[in-house]
Amino acid sequence: MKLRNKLLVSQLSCAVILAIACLASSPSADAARGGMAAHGGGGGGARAASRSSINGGGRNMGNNANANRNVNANGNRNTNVNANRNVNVSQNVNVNRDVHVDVDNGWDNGWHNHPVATAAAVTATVAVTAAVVGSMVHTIPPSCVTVVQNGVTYSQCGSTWYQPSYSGSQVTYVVVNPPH
Amino acid sequence: MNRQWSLPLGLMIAAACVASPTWALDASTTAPKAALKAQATPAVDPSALHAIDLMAQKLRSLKAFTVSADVTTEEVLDSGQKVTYGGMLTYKIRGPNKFFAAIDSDRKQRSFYFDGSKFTIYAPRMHYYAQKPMTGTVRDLVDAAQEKYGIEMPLADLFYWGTERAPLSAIQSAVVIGPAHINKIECDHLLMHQGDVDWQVWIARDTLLPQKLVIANRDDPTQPEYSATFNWDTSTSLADGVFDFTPGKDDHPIKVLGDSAQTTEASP
Repeated sequence: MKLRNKLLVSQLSCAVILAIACLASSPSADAARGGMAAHGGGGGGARAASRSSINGGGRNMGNNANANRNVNANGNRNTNVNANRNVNVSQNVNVNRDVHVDVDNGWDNGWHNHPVATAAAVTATVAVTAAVVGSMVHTIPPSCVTVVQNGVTYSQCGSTWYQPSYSGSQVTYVVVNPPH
Repeated sequence: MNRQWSLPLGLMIAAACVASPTWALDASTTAPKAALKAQATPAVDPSALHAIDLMAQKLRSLKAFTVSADVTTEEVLDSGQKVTYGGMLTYKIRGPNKFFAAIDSDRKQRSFYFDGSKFTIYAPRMHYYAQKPMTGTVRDLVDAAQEKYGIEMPLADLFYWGTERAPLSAIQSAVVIGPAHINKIECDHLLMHQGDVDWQVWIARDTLLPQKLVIANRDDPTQPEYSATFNWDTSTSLADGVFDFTPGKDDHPIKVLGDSAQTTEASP
């Protein structure tokens, strides 16, 4: 009898374990049904956008489906721009003012980023860290000044020099060596 | 006895456990089926196609025009929420080879100039401009902007309707919704399906020009929409200076990365 009880207990506990396993698995089934698993739930990322014409372009419209943008506006401006699939362009800019005079600030990225060929993560912290020459960013700090030397337009941000150019309708900035 | 009975109990629970995801799978497979049914599009109404054709012919007959558009675009977040952005778009066109576009959105300002010999991209807020030699017609410019420089002119259909770039045969379904008013202008409201988009157009009955266009992108289940409401001026003449960019003292030349394989929309 004692042995039998013991067996019963073990069988029951087995069933309980199964039941728990069952309960535990059902939320994931729900998740799969609701499609939540695919998107990782919320955040500032964008997965799609409207199309501005019926017959124009269109072929490459999938380009921007993964443009991610997280903008945290606070005293110190932090703009994290994840532009397209395998490119992470990050800028942490610490500037104690919020004036944007001569630059397209991070908001520019709200409209369809142009994919950047170089897969580079750049942290351009004003007057502290020099960015890697050849890396490309979509935004530069608001404190940068435009300098023209030998007919070439640069943006100088402390010790970091950028050369702006149009990539599509987007202005991108490539870090260059200081001109002499 | 107890032992014999408890084993089937465990199996039952296990079976119930397996059954739950199976049911979930069934539920998820019914959704695409419903979507497929919805995609069985209605037939093409010849009178709807005829209205599009008349609008296209009217657009191609214009020698010079200014059209401004109030535009909204939508972006779908990963959460499935849609964000709407506003903007204003102006085209000034004089055939065969003069083009000006001003794009002023919540996030970006750009101007494009084409005087028949060069194409200028200008960012008024940043004072950066870039110029490239270019010849051809307005239509050639719209093509080249996209194919060579990756700039998709918004509402390019205004330049493509009535050409082989926008054949009526590409329209897979066409329905006349009925009469409507846009800014007090009497219009015919039409609904089309073409490729990956559904589009609606409101065509003014007196001028045959589009007064409103809505394009729904069906690539995403939330179908983000582009919407433009037009204001046409087909009588005011346009001087050469409109199409010729002259840099001011604060404007600086920058390069344009040509032959881009990818496309960005000039948006809105």
